[in-house]
Amino acid sequence: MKKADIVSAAVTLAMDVDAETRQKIEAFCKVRGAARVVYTIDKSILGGIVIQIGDDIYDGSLLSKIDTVRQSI
Amino acid sequence: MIKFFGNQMLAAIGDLVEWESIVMHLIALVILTVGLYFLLFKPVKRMIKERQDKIRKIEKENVDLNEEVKKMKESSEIVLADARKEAAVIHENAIKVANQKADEIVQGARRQAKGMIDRTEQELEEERRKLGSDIEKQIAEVSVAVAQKVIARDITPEDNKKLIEESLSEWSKN
Repeated sequence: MKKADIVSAAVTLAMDVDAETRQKIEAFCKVRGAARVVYTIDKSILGGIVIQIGDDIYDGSLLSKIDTVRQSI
Repeated sequence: MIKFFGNQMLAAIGDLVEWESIVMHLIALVILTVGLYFLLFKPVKRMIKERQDKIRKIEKENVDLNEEVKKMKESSEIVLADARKEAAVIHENAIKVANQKADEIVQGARRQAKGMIDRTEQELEEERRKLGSDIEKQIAEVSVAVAQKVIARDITPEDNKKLIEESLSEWSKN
């Protein structure tokens, strides 16, 4: 995917975060070519964060960590 | 005196007997004897000889037959003894073969039974292992589900912030 095509990053959180954290999130997204950040609250991820920028998905949610543990056992 | 009486007796006999008649009788007796000898005695003797020869021949035949019967009897006894020996050997071999077959059948049945027991034990072991694994898996899933519930209930905004920062920091390194 070309950087010009990336206009937004979809960020999913389990709960709302403070401004400082938002700045860090947006800075991360900007470095990876996202001009805009769209936040979504989804309690099912339990905690942490999931960022989708184009085809790239960064999954740092507690749900994915628990799934990893589940698969390993 | 004796001589007197002897002469007297001879004189008396001479009176009673006619010497010519006696001679004629003697001649007739000789002729009859000779005739009988040739006409009767010889054929009877020959017939007796023939009969004796026949009897001897029959006796010889009897002896020969007895010998033959004896030989046949001995031969048949030998054949019978051989047949008995052969029958005993055949009987013994048949018993050996039957025992061998019986042993083979028993061994085969034992092998088959052992194989079945081994297979059953393996299947049981496999089932036990599978059941244990299933139980472990279920326990793990329940533990994870419980952990998930606990985390969902107990996670604080600070914990969440820390998680997010750790994730961002890790991704930034790559």
